[in-house]
Amino acid sequence: MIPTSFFLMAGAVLMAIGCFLVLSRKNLIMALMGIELMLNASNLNFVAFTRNDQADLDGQMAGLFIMVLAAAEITVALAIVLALYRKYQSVELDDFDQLKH
Amino acid sequence: MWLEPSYWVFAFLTAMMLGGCGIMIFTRRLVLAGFGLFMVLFALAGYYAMLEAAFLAVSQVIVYVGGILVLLFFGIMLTQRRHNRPPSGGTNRILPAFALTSGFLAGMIYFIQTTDWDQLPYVSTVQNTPDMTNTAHIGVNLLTGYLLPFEIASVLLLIALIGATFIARNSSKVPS
Repeated sequence: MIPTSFFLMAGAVLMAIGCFLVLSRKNLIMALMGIELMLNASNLNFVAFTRNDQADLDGQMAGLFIMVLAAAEITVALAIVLALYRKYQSVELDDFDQLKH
Repeated sequence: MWLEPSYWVFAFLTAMMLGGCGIMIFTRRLVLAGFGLFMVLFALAGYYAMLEAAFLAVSQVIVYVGGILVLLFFGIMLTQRRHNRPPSGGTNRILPAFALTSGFLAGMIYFIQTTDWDQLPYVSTVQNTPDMTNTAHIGVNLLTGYLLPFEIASVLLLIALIGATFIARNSSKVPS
């Protein structure tokens, strides 16, 4: 059986890469992809811990609800992206600076 | 121990995940990055299958690969113009972001390695032989202990759907 820490390692790397994408990218859709990566990393941890506790599957239920929330989140986020694109003709994060001036 | 087939499967899935992440990090083309995300999500479905979470593996493929990724591609296609400005090159954010996330990653790796996660106290106390298949177990959970979150999730999805339609509509064409 593969040790749980291997999966935790993979989740940690995925979380760091998602965080890096969110912080470094200027494109709004790339930042959204980074958020998806981070959600998936946390999901992987939930599922990895549930392997040792198959009696009530709490972690897998949490993973399922995270998936539902991710679907709802990405729907609303893309709607906001489209509305922003209509207003600013751009999806670059640096262009949304109306509140600065 | 290292020759067990499961380790090879794990190595393959990890390579797929890291390859997808590499594509996402190093490309400037959004469609290619979407393909990298596809690889990552598929590798995660493989991880779930290895972790005895068959239902979640299938849900991952259906919800993420089949739903969220398609939505993202629609977002990419609807917002990319052919005459886009040259990709803003500036590296001003990459170095601080890299420093921050590598510190974060180092901290996480330190904590993961200092604990033996398979010998935690809770592992020895639970009875680890499920009396149902994974999918049946999740179905029973959804209709017993998790009934309230299940119903709230359905209402939330409805609200998200209506809200997304409302936000994304073209308000200039709405007859007043």
